[in-house]
Amino acid sequence: MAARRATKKQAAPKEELLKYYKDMLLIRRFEEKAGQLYGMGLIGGFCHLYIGQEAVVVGLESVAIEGDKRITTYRDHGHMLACGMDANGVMAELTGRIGGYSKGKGGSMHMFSKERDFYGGHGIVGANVPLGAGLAFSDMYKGNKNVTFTYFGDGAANQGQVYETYNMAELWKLPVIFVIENNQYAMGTSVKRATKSSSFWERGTAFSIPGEQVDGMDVLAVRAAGQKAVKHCRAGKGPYILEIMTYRYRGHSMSDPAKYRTRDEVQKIREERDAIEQVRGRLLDAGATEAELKAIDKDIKDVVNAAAEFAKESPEPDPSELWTDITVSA
Amino acid sequence: MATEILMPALSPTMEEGTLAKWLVKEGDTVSAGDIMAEIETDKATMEFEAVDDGIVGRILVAEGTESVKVNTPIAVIIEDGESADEIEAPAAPMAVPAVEEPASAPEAVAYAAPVQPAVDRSPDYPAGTEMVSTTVRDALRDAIAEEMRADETVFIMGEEVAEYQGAYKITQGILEEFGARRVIDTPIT
Repeated sequence: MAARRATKKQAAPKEELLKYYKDMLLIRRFEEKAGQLYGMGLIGGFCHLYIGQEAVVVGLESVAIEGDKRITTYRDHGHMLACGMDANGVMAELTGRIGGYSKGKGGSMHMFSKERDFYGGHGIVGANVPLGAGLAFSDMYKGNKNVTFTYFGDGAANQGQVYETYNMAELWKLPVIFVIENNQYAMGTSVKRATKSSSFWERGTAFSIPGEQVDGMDVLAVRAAGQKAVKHCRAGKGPYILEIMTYRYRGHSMSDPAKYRTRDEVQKIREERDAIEQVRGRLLDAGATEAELKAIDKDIKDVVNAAAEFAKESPEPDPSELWTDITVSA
Repeated sequence: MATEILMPALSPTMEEGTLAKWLVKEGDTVSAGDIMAEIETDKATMEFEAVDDGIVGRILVAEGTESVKVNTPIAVIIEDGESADEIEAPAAPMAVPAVEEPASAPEAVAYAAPVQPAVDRSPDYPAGTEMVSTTVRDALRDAIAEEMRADETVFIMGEEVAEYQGAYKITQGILEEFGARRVIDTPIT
């Protein structure tokens, strides 16, 4: 059973690095803008930012093929952008406008895109895990080679329904990759205070599911682990667990003062392990110029500013929308 | 270009807050993500981060100021090469966009008028009881504490009830008073 840490230092050509840089930067700038709009009262209710964790989704999306599915929890904006959903539509959903992916009726946690095979956005911790296995069941049933990326956090990883799902997934050899985004804090409770066995991927061994722990601040390490996982799934060998060690820079939600960790702890990771800075360094080593990267920064800023403008100008849904999208038409 | 920094809404219910502390001063260089100030909301004291790189050109609201309305300009960020002297007097607080009344009411849906049950609305506490104004969360906290003081066998366990002081501050101070044996954090799931 594969059970080693991926330690080999990965490399990638400049063009590929540029794509990762752009994709991660888009998520970070988008989230910063969302935080800003929240602060202006334009976004209400729940809002969980992905800043710090960008390498996880960008690394895994780099190994996805057409028809692969993804499903996640409520810290979901990064997943949507990484799988190619439109920044305007995501931002407008955050501001509750008709131009949003759920016509402004879902908000931060409840967006879907059948076109991009993005199945949400789920507010109930752990509840998306059996749903992810269900999506994988459909691919197994149809006999195609697609996989489902089922994302959840270290908090959800202690849930009963996760283990029931592991059992069925291995029993039926479902093509599902369980991605544990271990950002080390379940809301305000650190992993150390929530479990005595904090190596989450190892728990799969009880169900004969292989897995590994991955450096989630290094997009190339995530990609390498993802390649292994999809190969296993597409070969019909059943599920795979990736425990991706990451870190969120912001609070759990917008109203979390984050007193459970020190400012120094956050600052140290930002300075020493930041995923975007790592790729930036690799790009400069690969011959990219500061001017080239600055131009990308500007392009991304423009995309995000345009999304914010769209999200402010798109009208609120008409009250008659209350009566739509409630049942599936036959 | 000078950018106004506005008083942020740092919780879903915040309308105004206290600018507790500035962590930067005029002339300081800030980068996105740096903590600029501590702001007390209705729920907690929050750190307020810079969203862009620049220089603190002017601080418009002094620390310690209470009841600063959301969206009031609190500082101005300038870019390299700009002078703080060029900053104009702060504009009036940005108006929160008014919610427009829908032009026409949604189509009326016919419902049977609900039958109003006869309810005795007279108070069920003795006349002359002294009333106090409190929030729901403080009332819940006080009731929990009262039961715990009265009965050694009453304890509380749940997600973030202890060290975090309750996700919505219902159990604020409870751990301090009753200790970790009676106030128990469970793993979050």
